[in-house]
Amino acid sequence: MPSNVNHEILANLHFTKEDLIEANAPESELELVDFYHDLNTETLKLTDNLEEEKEELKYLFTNSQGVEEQLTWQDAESRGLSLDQMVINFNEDDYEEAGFFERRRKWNPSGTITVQEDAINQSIGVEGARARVRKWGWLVIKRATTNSDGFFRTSSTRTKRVKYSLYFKHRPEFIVKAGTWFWNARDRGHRTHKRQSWNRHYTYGRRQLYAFVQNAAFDYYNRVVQRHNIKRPKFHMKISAKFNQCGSSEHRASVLTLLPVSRIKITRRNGNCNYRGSDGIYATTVHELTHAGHQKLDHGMFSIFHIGSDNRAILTESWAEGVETVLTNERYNALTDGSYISTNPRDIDAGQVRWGGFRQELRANQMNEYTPIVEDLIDNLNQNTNLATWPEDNVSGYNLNQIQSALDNCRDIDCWENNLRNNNVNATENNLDELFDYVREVRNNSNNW
Amino acid sequence: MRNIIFMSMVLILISCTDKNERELMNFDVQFRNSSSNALNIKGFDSDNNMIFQDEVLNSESSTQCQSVTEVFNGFGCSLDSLVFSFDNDKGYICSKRASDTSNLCFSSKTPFGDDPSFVSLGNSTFEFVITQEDFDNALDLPN
Repeated sequence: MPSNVNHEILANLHFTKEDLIEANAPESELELVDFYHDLNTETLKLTDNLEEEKEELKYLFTNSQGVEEQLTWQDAESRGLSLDQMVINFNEDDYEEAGFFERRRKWNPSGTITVQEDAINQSIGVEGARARVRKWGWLVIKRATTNSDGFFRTSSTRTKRVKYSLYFKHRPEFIVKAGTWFWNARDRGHRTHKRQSWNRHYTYGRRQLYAFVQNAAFDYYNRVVQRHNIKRPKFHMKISAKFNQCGSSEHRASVLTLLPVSRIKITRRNGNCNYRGSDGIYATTVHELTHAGHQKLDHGMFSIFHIGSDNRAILTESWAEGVETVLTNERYNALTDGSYISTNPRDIDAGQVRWGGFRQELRANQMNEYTPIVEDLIDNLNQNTNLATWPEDNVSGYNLNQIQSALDNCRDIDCWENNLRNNNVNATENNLDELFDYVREVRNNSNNW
Repeated sequence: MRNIIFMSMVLILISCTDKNERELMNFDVQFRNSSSNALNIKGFDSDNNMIFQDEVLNSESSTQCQSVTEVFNGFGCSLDSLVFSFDNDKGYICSKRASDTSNLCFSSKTPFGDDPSFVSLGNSTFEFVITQEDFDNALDLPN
């Protein structure tokens, strides 16, 4: 620092670098580790940060007769002595427990992060999130990613006291934002852990929402895309998780990359300000990611020149609604051994146990652009046999990959139907025209939306 | 520069792909018995649990069930099937189950879906009317 620059020294700090010493280091370097350890312990004593460790240490105290006594913390407390009147006894021979200081022992910071899924009343691991291990409260020394059980374990360290934090993201795919583009969603632990693991279980609040979005996005990028062979959304997706806001979730198709706006917004509460439920948050995250995948598949579909097109609205929203329906039922039935019951009030009212089942109990002129056409192409339910005014559906057996491929580069309903018929072999394809009739009717009734 | 910022903001505002869920609405739905005989109504969910029961005297209305959904769609209320029975053991069974092939529902109306036979009483209240003709044409119900 040049002498002519005004400055003020706030503190003189020294950070030891014990982790740089290899496991098979020579004796001289291991002695250095011992020294670092003692130095750190003494620093904690001077700054009154020893916490519970002070009860395990022994101390040297010189009494009024000039005699040096060895005291335990309990002895010192009973005699009213404070830490600054004593010196820590670093002589290992004076401790009964062999290797008490364990100065050279490496350990692996670890932990388990879970979230309570209220829709199915189960504890689920937070998967694919990034755990960080901090020394001195801020210096990140280790990183690890949680597995499907929410468990993480970093490489080993000699740093004895650490703090943990969890970031809801999975590079390079997505990062969950804390309701605004400017802040990452995270859980930053403030407690110091002395060679201890970190266990968290989110049952309420913002972190629970972040965990739901994390699990949904991780599932989409890492399981769904491969299993169903559908388009993966772009990398570096920013998903803003809105805890308090009531309203629709959004996929912003034309956000300019340089603007500080997340491409996807997930709200915890819907337009009625009712909590969506954990299955609802999974469903809406999947829905918006499906838009993002559709945009990557067919960028022109999301051009501003198609804004206001009823065909475009039906194609984009019915596709996303269908993927949402299939995946939500798939995931939660897998978690409950097939006993999942949707918590969507619309499904409950309709007496449906399947997520999104209520959509197949509507007449065409009751529907909006969120039609159940994708479900109708897949399942073997003909809702018309349940009620004569519901759509006639004699089509079944298509899969998400076929339906997505047929959608590629289409700008109207007829194109989608024709591609399904021409690009695939399906025993029910002669009934496609009959099925798509209700979708065309919905489009023509767009004034009702 | 101002134009660029303005255009960027316009792009953001007009290019959202929303999940525009329609808001939930409450609908009160009830039966009215305009026949000359008392009517017993039982409602079941998809697991065959009875979740609705009412005895409706002639010229009276049943207790209401509140349907919470986006658009009026008849008797929601988690109902899957309804049994209407008069004191002569005749009546009707209406169901949303494809497996139910008994054809014991009313010939020209149904309490499920937004059937045109529902009468709107205003204030999001709807009524499904069982008429004297329904009593006259009632079907034999299985034991």
